[in-house]
Amino acid sequence: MAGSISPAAGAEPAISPRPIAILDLRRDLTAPQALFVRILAFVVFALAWQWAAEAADSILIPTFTETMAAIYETAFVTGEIWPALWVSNLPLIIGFAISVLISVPLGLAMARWKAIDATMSPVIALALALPIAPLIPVVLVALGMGMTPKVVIIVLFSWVFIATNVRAGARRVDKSLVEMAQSYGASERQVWFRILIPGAIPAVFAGLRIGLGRAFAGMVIVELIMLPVGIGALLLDYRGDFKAGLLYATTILVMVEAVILALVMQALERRLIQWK
Amino acid sequence: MSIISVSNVTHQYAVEGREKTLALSDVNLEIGKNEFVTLLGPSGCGKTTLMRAIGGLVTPTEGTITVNGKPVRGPNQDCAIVFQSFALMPWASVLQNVTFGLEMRGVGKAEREEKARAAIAQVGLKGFENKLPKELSGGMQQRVGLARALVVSTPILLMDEPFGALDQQTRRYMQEELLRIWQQDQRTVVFVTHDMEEAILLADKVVLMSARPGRIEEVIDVTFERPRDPEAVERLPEFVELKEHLWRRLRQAHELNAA
Repeated sequence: MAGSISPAAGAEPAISPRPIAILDLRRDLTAPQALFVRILAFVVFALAWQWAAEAADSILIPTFTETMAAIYETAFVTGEIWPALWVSNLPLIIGFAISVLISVPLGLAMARWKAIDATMSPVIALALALPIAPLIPVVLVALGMGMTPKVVIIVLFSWVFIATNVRAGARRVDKSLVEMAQSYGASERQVWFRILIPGAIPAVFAGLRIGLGRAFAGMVIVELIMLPVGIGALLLDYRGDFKAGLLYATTILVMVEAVILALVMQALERRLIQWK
Repeated sequence: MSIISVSNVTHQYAVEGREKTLALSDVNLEIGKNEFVTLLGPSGCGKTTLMRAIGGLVTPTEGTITVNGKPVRGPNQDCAIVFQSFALMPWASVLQNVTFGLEMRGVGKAEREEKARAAIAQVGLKGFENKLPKELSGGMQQRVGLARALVVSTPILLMDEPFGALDQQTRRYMQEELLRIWQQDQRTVVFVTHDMEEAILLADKVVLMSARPGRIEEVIDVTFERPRDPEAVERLPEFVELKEHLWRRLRQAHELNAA
């Protein structure tokens, strides 16, 4: 380089080695590079899977191609997965809705009124620390085998995460904004609707996103451990019949649903919070 | 007749675990209509507390404050505040921010928007009505805050170190703008600052305060003619003398405290 000081003869240069030809791993990837890397990773993964499965040669381990074929079969040929997904998701929808309706106002109330915050604080701490799974048999015994226990479990899985995020978000609203509103004559109601709630929306959405993830996890556990009627039933059947391909396929499709839900929430969040 | 009357105001507050702080001690002040008054002093002298008490955001532990003939019992319709941190709603546009005060007073939509547009133009932000605060510089954001305060047409404007968060050049520019705008309607202003030059430049009266406890040291009339050109005024010997006088007083007060 022009103007640079040459190192003393025999000394090692202090700079790192030359970048790799196609990708300079030290820098951010451009969009086409990122896509290329992702596709490459997927292809490597698929090939590795195929190779490993064929080497194992077991009825219990489907190859990549077998699994893809099974996905196609269950989604488009027999269509088995759709009614199963619907049955499994119904308690998710109901449970998540209830969780949101309870937790969002609760979180806002905790942020605004210290008394409520102090009262709820031990409950929240406990709910965050406690794993829900051990509670499932208790719920089953108390509420039987229908829709109600499933909804209850899903609510239990998700409510505290929504409430804590909403609370954090509302608390983060600039206190000077509340003061400003009061100085211009806002009533308590106006402070809520014009300052606290709009200000808390980003955090509310983060809470909803996390809560949905938790509710979804609750739904899966309900299906697997409690009452297999939808997806859980399919999985049990496939296991019993050694239909490994369909088993993997169904599991993958459930995971795909989780990813889609997360992406939808993220997109919603981004649209609503353009002001941040 | 004073539009703001502060009588024997004392304000004490306690922070958890510490001793009570005497933010204001027996403060008395009269402010006349259309006066531009600056509250000047170092940190802890109570100037912001006093301004907030006038605005009804703080209730003093002792004493009374009367604004426009009525005792202050909370935020009132006679004062509009410009905040040091701007206090703009980040999710709302410039227009929505400026109409906020009018909205809280129940003014109809068409009327609010019309008035707001005029105020926005008055502070030099015409064309920025639909921008979000994050798209504006600090100086522009504070102008939005000023427009919001101006548009509610209160007799009194309270300004809490409004230019404190801005860089020096922007601050100078904002001072000129404020002088120009004030020249147009000359409402009563209480302006809090720790900047001596700013205090003298803008004011008809400088209220010098000192700390521990917060109290008024001296009230000085500033008689430079208006409209004021900052560059010209700051070079006047009377300006320099006044500045030195204020410095001396402050240093005296500081030494007395330390003694």
